[in-house]
Amino acid sequence: MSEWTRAARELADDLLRRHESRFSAEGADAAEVVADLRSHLELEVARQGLSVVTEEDVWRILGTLDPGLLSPPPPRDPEAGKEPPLAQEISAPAEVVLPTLLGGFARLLLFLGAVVLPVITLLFEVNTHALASEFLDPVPTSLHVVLIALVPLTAALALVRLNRGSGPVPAWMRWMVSFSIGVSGLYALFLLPLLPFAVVAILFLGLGFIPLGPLLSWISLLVISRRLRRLDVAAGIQRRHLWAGWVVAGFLVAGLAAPQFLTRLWSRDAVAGSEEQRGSAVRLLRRFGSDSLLLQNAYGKAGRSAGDWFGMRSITPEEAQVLYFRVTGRAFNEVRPPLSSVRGSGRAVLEEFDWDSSLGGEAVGGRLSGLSLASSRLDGMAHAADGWGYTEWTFEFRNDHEWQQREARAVLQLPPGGVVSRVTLWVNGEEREAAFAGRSQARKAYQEVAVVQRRDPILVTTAGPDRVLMQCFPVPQKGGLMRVRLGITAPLEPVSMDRVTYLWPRIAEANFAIREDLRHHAWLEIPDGSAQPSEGWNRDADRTQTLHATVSHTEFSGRLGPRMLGRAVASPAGSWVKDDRGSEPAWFRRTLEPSPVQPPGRIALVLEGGLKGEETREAVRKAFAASPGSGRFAVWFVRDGAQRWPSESMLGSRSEVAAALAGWHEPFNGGHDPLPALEAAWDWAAAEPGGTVLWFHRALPVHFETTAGLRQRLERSGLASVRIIDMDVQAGPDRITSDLPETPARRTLARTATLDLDLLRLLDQLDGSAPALRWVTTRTTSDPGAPGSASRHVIRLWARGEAASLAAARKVSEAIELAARWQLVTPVSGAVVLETRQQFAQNGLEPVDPVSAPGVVPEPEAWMLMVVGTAALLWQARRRNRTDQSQAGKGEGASR
Amino acid sequence: MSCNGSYLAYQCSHTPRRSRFRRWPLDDFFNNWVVQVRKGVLEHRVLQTLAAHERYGYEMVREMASIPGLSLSEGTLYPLMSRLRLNGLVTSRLEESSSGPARKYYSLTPEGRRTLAAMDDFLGAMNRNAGRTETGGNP
Repeated sequence: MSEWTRAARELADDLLRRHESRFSAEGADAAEVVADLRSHLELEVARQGLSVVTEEDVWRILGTLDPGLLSPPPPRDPEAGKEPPLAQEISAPAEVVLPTLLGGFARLLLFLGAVVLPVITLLFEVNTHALASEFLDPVPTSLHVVLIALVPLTAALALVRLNRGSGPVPAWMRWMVSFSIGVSGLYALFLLPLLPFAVVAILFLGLGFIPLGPLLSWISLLVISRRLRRLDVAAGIQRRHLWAGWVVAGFLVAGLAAPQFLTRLWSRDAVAGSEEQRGSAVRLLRRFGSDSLLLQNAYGKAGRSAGDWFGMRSITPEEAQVLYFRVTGRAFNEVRPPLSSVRGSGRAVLEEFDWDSSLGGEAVGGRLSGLSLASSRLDGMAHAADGWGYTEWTFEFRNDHEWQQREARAVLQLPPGGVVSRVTLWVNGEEREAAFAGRSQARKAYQEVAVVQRRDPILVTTAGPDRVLMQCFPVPQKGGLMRVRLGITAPLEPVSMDRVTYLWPRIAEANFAIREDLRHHAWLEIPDGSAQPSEGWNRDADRTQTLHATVSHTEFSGRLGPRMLGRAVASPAGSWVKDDRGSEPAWFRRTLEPSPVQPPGRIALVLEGGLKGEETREAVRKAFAASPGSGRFAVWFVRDGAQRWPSESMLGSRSEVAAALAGWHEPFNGGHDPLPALEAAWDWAAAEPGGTVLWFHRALPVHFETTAGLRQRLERSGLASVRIIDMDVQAGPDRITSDLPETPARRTLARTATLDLDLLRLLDQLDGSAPALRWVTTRTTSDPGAPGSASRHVIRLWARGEAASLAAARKVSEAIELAARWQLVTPVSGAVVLETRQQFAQNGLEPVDPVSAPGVVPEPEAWMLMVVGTAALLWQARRRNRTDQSQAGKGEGASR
Repeated sequence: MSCNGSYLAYQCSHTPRRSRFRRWPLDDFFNNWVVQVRKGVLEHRVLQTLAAHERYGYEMVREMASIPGLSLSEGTLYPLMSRLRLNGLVTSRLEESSSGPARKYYSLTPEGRRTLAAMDDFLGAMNRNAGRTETGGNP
């Protein structure tokens, strides 16, 4: 016995009753005919074995019996006596009657629910990212937007089709409707937790339709689907397996979201799991994770995840920054802030508004949108015989942000032993020189003026050995420019007794973009030597000591960086320069001398197995294979922990090291913490006197663990113990080195050639087969009697080292005084330029006299300064005299 | 449905394109004519079907469907049967069925048989006269 649903029975009665008048008009007993048709309907139900009879069944069976029954009855013929035609078979089917639900109001509701609301919801979310930031990101990729956009599109087409009336519905439309039901259903499920809030929001605020959008869309699509099915049934078409559309939608939505979901899951494990879980999660992230989501996390822009709502621990931006480096091997701020793949104008505005949490701080921080380096000019000058070089680097920053002023921050990597000796800021087109003072005093003044008053200052402080942090504010919005200049005094790197190398500073880390087409304009003069140009540099025919080039940023910041070789032709003894700024006169001279040869100890190699580590390994292998020298070596490979490889045994020759390196075939990816390997290598090398750790590394943009262990080894072991030589293979941030003290037990190898050649030279120096050279500064307080033709840069380089020594001896105030006197940025001193004299005075600072600042033209000698000063005084006195006479004359005139 | 014969061929060729079918006045005329012819012939044919023995609705629909040009749906059959019953030409009875609802069997009344005989005579005479006219002979 079949069971009829109430709706089915009502539909059958309704449809049959509609034709009673026609039956009567044809001369029949309408009630009898209706009863016959109902009986026939029941007969068909029984024949088909239906246990439950639904509206669709009634619709389908009556349509099979006579499609005319689904049509409105033909109007009565106004002509009396004329009966309406009987045969519907050869007349065109009339409009199919849709159930009463699809009246005008019902159609409007369906249109609102299935078309308008989804469109509004999608546009709202894409533009505001509201759900993503407060709940979960419903549109993590552009493909999700496409999927969701298909829902209202399909619904609109289906409604148009329903309005057209009878006839079969195209198969693709039925499938699309089924697919859209799946998509909207999944999103309705996804937003189910928000349903109570949405209802409350509707009741009290009139909002809340946004979270309800998918649910209402799903319900509307179900209704539309049933109506389409009736049309098909009426046309004798039955489509099966449409549920597969739901399944496809489910797989598609879930499949597209899977990388995001898994990345979040693994990120948590990588940060908060057990040690084994952490390692495994990082490996999975390297292979399958979404780098884009990791980057969004690192910038704190990833929004919420499902785990947040179930009490799972979410990772902080700082943790995400470490994780991004471990997974990709790159610093998060190498890449501009990730904008969602889906962004409308409103969302773009929100995303562009990035609060600069590092403003006025000591960290470079993330890349700021709109801020870029507009131009870069380097003017260099070197003195080969005295072994100093001086570079003036002029930066021009540009801020294209619409309304936010920006602080430009960069860490500059100086040539080893280099020091910032001049800082200039352009204010309203005029050059303003810096005041050099204690580090904290300079920073306080900067923060007062930059962060509080939001005026024009620039601050330069050290950021670890051979690195300075430069920060200037504000770069005006809407294409505004800010121009600053840093002067850097650095020693020339000796290659041999008659050859030195000039090294340029480089940008290690920045919070501004550097366009690929940016060119650095470099100009170098070596007045006392013959410059040997690198490839791409120009030399004027009449000035062999001058080189100039326009270098791409890629080349400039590349592994080798630009370098100039100059042949020293002046006296190797150097010349004297008098210190006329100290309390007592002193004379300085720099000479190039061989370093004392130390008995070779153990040499530990620490190599990173991270991103592009294979290039480093190959260069090191090449250097070790180049000559057969002996030694005692061990190799540590840095890969998610310290690994001594290939075994615990010591390698006895360079060729053995080369062979060991050739056999290392780990995957080179991600970023790794070298501290455990450095400490293990240090301990191994310290087992014998004269040990050396050669540390080959690329950028290390994050703090992994505390460097306390390594610091302690360097500070407590003394010079006789192990030296760490930093083989820097890439310009970039280095959080480990920046934490280490300035000590002779650690130094950065000046890179003058390719890595294998530099390393080969170093290895020969370490085993005594080649002389190691060093600059020695001689200071005397008795007049040497020789003409003082050397530059004050000689004194600046001495003062740099002396200030470090004083600071190490806890004579900080003396160190600051010395650094300020020679206008140097050291670990205890900083340079700050403020906008007005009043600001300087308020902060107890005195800007340096531009005349005393170094420049790329030879500095004036003391006697010349005296002449200029005297002339100025005379001119001023004469002018005052004339003014007085003139005023006296006027006074006389007035009294008359 | 077979499409042999001029009328059926015409119907077949036009059925899928009803909009064009409707557009031509001649087609409308033919359509109306067919409806009128069918109306008369259907009633005669239904009576003929019941002449041998009684039948129920579903049987009749199936039997009529086997006659080209005379197939009809239940929505057409039941009003027709009701009208014939009201005119006293057929009678009906219900019979319980084990496989579903009771079946309604129709049979001819004596009046129906007389009417069928008269219709047969009329149509026979009409056909004969129509054939004579076509061959050009005298009635």
